[in-house]
Amino acid sequence: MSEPSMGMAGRVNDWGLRWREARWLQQPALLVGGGLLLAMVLASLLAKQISPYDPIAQNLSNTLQPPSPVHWFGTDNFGRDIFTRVLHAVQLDLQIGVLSVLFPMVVGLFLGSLAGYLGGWVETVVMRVVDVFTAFPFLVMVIAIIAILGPGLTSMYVALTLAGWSAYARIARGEILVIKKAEYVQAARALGFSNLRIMFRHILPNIVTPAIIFAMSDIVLVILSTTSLSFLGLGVQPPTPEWGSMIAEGRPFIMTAWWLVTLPGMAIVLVGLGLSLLGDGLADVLRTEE
Amino acid sequence: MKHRIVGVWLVVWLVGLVLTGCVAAPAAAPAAEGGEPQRGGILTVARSADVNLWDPKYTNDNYSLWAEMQIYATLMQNSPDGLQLNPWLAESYEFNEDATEVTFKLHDDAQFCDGSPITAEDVRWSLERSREPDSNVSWQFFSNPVIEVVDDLTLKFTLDRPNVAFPHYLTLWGMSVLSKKHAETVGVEALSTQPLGSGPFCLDRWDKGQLVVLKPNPGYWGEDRPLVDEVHLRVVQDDNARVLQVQTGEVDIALDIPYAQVEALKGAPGVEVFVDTLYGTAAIPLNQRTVPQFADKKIRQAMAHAIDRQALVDAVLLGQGEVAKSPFYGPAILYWTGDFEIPYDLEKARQLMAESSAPDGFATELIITSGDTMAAQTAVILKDQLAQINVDVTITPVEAGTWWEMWSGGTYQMLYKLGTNDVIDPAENLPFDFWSVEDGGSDAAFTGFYNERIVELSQAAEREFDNAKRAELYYELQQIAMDETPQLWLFHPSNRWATRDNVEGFSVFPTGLHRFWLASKTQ
Amino acid sequence: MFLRKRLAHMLPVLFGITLVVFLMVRLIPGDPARILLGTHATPERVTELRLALGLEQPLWQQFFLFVGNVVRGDLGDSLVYRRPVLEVILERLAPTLFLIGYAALLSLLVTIPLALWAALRQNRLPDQGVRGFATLTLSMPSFWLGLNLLILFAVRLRWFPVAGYGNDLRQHFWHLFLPALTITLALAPMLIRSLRSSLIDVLKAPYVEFARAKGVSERRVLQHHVLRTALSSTVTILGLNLGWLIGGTVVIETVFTIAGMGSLVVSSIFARDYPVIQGVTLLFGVLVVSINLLTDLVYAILDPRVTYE
Repeated sequence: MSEPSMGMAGRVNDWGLRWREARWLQQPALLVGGGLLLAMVLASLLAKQISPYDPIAQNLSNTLQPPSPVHWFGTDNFGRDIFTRVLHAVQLDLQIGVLSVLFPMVVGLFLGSLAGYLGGWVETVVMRVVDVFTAFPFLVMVIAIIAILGPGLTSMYVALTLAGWSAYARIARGEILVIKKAEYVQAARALGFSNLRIMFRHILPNIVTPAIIFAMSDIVLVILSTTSLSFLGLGVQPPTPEWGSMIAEGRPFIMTAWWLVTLPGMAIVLVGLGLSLLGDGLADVLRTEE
Repeated sequence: MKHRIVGVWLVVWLVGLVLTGCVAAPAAAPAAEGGEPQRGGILTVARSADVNLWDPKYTNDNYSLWAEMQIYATLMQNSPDGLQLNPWLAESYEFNEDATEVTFKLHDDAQFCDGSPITAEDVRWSLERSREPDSNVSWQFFSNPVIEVVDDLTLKFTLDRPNVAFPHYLTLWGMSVLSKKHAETVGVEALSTQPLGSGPFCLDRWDKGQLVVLKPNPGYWGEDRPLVDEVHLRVVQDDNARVLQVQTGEVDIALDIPYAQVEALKGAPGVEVFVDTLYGTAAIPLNQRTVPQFADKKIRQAMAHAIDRQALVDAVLLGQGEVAKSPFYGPAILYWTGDFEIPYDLEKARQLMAESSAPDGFATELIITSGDTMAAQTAVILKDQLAQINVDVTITPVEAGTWWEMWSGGTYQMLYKLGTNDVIDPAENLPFDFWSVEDGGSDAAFTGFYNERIVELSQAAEREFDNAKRAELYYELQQIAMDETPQLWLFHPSNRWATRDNVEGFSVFPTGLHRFWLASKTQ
Repeated sequence: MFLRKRLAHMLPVLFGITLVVFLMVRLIPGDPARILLGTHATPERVTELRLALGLEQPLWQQFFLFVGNVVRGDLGDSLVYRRPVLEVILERLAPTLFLIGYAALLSLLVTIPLALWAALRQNRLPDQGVRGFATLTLSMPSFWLGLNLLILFAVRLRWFPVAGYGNDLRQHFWHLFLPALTITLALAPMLIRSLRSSLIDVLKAPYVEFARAKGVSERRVLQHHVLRTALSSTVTILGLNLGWLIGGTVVIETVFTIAGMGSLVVSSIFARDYPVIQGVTLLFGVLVVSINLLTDLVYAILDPRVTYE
């Protein structure tokens, strides 16, 4: 079945696709950022080939060694090779960062567009709840939810979703209010399509772009704040290597062994840099498309 | 590159802006001439936390109670070496023959900071207040004493069961003596912020979050009057900052030196660093109600033998502590014996495991409080060591309140805890560590373990006046406890503090308490 | 009119926050009475204390009691400090607010010259340098950055104190410099990016061209026409972030061990000090909502094009 409105949206998308292929290669930021992240993931996949050490096994006779050709980043207070632990943590930390943005984005977009599209009391209720969540101190919420659900990654995702969805809901609602009045949506309505169908096929694709632009800047902040959570002792289970908890565990040694704190943080900076560049590039590509 | 330039620029600008006024010289107090211990001066102390409140009834944190114990008197007191129990506000005391009644005679010249006399009624009122239903310290009233005022200077305690250790509990902070008249004047709510001292010092000033100033109580009855004119308790939360401040002489005493810096401080000029025992044990209770394997004595013994405690002391405490050899909270506790130490013996551990009900091992979970680095380090090493006998430990950090709930609610499997003994007698913790709820205990530290003989022995020891006989009872108790090993007793951490080399007479007792009135400063 | 409407809008939000935090703290496992009493207390003692603290009442009763008291301006007494919650919070609020204000000031001091420099030399070396700096510092976790500043400037060079808040105004500035710098390095990049792009937009605007053509000095053009207009969007971003900062200083306060709101929140949650958690959350809510309101007002003053009804 061919629908007029579908055709319009489809055409936009076709254009977009062709444009994207061309523009992606013209964005140095995108390439550098993507390359940086890719290189880190590759390094972590090849961790066992790159470094001969075990990330978890202790060697209590070789503790707190400064960086050297044998241990590039030195060893920690359990005699574990810090460089190896940093490498092994790449995948976990990236996963935490990406999922911690993805979940709130999905929930926020859904509720926000529902509010914007349906209007009326649904909108009022959702937007009041958004206001409450925006003004609620992030940390109280996260610590409390982790305490209620028990520790672990799942509760961390739930907590970060509850803490982060409201911003996306705002964006979605704002965009929807504009799109709702657009011609093709009015046409689809006139043709008697169901609300759900209009929302999913005609409206959502159009609000994803601004959401992604926001998400790319958000993801850096979220990665940084998830590592802060393990700095406060609320993250992953030891002895799993994870950058935030490595820094937290190294803190008692800052006077005597700086490398426990400084070097694992470099990995976070690299990821943050990669993501920032990737986000800037992506935002440029998506903006020019519009 | 850019980053650095801007940073440096800002730093230079700000240093210029603020440096001028910030090199404030610490006030130097003139010290008195000659004489052994020198009098006068201001003693400045860096502590990692402020006082939360000054009302002992609601106190449950160390930094509040350590400060309260400078300004409040108690009936009894431990000797400075921590080995003996002496009367303090009491001039003398006497038991009846079956250890169910104790009578205390007070000093007749003891005064509160406002100069009013300390009477038996003040003592009774303070103690009764500490055991009201909304008190945080009501647990300190072992043997439920009935307190009677005989006359102005005489008090009688009638216990619900014979308890020769009872006077020991009268050294605890919940037994602090407050002025009834003062409380009536200012209102009991105000006791949190406006205490009236009954001990060696009076509270002079409290800048919350920053500074406490103590001055000597002119009406203090004891021979050991404060030697300095003022004590300043400064809040210096950061471990490194306390170390730096005692090195630069900004403070005279720094409490709670981090383990990692004891060695470095030993070489620092003008600084003396001290490491001494603490009545405390890091231990892992094994919950028999959630893990059936822990009900098997062989498995508990296998785990106890698989742990290299000396390695823990070396790695976690950097050697500044002692291996636990008894369920008692440290070698300095009365009646302690190291005869039943469980040595690290992997062969034996494996053999015990093979003979046990779970020869192929099992998986379990160890709960620690998140953010507690000592717990995390211990747990990671334990995980490694227990893996050698196929006990697969998952470490789960939980936030502090949840940790409490899991422990006291009995929903944990294994858990790291640092327990302390607040008096020098072992009787304090025995009900908690071994008695069932029906006996008035906590089901052996919430493990569900029960051994009738241990309960009998500890109850008999509470009735026994004769020290030699008590020692025998406790000897047998420790033997059975180490054989049964319902908890994995790991190590005793230490008290660590540093002073400038001109400070004399100051030390931290194994209970963690300290007395600034014994300290003096020479020029 | 606008103000009254916004204030009326605040009430349901604050009520919502109150309800959420009230239910949330009670859902967290962990009994304040058990934590206050420690390990040695028997179950009967725990129940006694719960009764005395009013925790055995039905939940709805506790809630209405709490809301009733809040309306009368009474946030209750802390279970740990045994003093009015408001008193405890206000003592801790000073360092936090000082730190945030200090950081906001430093951020503006860094942002305005750098963004101006970058915008005036768009796509040339200064611009690329400033943007690179912004991207780099934005990628640094603030607790890590803070620890490194601490290692370098406080531990090694000893230029600044390792921790604390100080006793008088001059000392506050000195003690809080490193933490404020840490926040600045996280906040300034966002501000620089936003100010730079709006400056570039404004610089192309017809009225700027016109002013220049009229022969107004470049300095005057920048000050009166360009910067003022461009700043309005930056103020919005600063406002949005200040709300976030109030909640986020916890980590910075942990790193530099400042006894502010952050440490109060964390320790109160650990101790299950219900009244304090509730009070702090409510106060955060009020602060964030008021800062948003203030931001809108400043925005309206800075940018004459904006009008509210």
